[in-house]
Amino acid sequence: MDTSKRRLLGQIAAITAGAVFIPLAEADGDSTPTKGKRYGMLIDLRRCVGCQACTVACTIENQPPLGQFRTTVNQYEVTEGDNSAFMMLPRLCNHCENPPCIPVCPTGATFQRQDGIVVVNNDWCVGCGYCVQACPYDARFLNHETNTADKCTFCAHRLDAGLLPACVETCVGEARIIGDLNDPDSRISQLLTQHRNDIKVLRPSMGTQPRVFYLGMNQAFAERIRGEAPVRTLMTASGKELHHGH
Amino acid sequence: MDIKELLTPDFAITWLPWAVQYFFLIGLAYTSVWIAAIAVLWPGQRQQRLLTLCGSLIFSAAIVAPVALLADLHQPLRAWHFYMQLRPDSWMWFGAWLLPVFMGSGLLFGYLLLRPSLPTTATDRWSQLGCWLRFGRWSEKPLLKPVAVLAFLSACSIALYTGIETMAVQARPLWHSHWLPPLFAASALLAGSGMLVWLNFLFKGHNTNTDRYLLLWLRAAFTLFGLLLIGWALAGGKSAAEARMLLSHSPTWQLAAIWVLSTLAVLALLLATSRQPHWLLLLAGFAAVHLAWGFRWLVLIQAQTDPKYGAGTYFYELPWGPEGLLGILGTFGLWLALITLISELVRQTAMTQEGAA
Repeated sequence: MDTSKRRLLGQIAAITAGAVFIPLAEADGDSTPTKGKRYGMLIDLRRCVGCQACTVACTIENQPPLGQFRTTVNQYEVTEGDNSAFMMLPRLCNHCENPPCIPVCPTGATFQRQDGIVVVNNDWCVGCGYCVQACPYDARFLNHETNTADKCTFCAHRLDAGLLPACVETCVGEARIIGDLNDPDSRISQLLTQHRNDIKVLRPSMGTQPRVFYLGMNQAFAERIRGEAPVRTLMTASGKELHHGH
Repeated sequence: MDIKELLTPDFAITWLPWAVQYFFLIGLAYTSVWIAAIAVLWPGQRQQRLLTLCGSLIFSAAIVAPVALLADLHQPLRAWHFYMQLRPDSWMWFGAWLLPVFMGSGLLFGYLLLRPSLPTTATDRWSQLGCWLRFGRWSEKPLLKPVAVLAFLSACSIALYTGIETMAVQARPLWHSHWLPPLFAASALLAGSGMLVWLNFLFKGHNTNTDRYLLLWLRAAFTLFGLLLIGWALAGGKSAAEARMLLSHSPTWQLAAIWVLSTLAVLALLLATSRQPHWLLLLAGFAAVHLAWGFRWLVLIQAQTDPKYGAGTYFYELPWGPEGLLGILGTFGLWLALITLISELVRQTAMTQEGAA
């Protein structure tokens, strides 16, 4: 028997044996995380006007302390030749597929839910700040009031109740789209497929596999910004200005 | 394409100056364990003076360092959470187990080193306390070598975990370099030998042989630190590239570089002098301690002002309270109180030895 025939027969045998397990795999399907819900967010930068409504809505919903944000919109001026334009970049936790904040946690207080949302159990967090250091997006902070790690949760409490996250709900341009990445019929999956070649994530070089995707983002914003820093103001917790400058 | 940031949030530092105090004091503790263990295990004459000084430094620094570490937790009362689950992916979790082991072995070693210098006869209140701390009449000599080995290995584990814990953070390119753990260890050795020079001067019964021995350690640690720093600058990959980028535009980092280079130059000159007058050695000891503390400040605090995504650098101003200056002074104050207490306990023996000499 020649080798190609032998390989063909081997493949048929493998398929036949595999068929035995098909019903079992289907029955287990819903309990495996890969087939359950996997939340992700697509931010259509072409629709973002930088109104900060999402920042305000998030602050009202989640009540972070003064000067600390779970989400905010960075604003940039981009100049090429004689042309200038404004660029708005909403920022939040990327709920990465490979989140670097989780393995470093010495107490297991931060973890990823089955639906991919990265959360912090702030009754268990010791406030060591290791996860804040490990996040390449500055998406985490130590909450000055709870003295524990804090971050965007995709408003998991709202999603669990069948509501949209506060930032998505309030976005005037409908720039933020949240949905199930594992459902090919969800709006986010369809948009990701439709714009496959224009989708970008932040800092892909870090290998974190973010699940917040950006549509309409220039490559110059994908990695760390090489540009001019804004005028910064150093303030005390009570809002008193200590220092001002670049 | 020119990008100008108009509106971006600033991020406060997360690891506070307590972390610098911890890394500095634990460095003093583990390097004085190294110096003492080598003196104990190396064949030849042991200098009791050196061992007493090392014992004092181990005992004081190994007690104060974990206090500073605990203070850097924003929820210090929850420290027991570290021990309630397995987290083998987290170097900090390993540290939570390695540190108590070091506390045990280091403090036992420190005690055995100090015990021969505790007074044998009670003449006043201090010597009475010293006598009591001898815990009866027994010889520590048979225990010294095995405990030295144990404490030495435990000290290595602390040097390893503190270095790797910081190095493991990929999100901070300045930290994410294989050169960082040895740089921490070499600078700690520099601080340890420098501090011992000062303790030799300040404790009753100054010994010039101890000074000469410590000068060897200072020179070795300085050479190692200098070579590692050159190695990092030349082959430090993304970490060195990030430092070069910061140097190119940040006046704060430029000042830091000038400080590092000038301190290194002063220290090199001081250590290269062949005939060391005592004051010059003291100056070198101070410069060594200053360099090691400042190095930790740059790595642990100033590196946190380097944005992970944005441009420029964030501001940081040292607060006056416990999260800033008061924390630094408080830890040093606690350490000073402990070392003063120990110096009082071993003073009488030093006077007797001095009288005998």
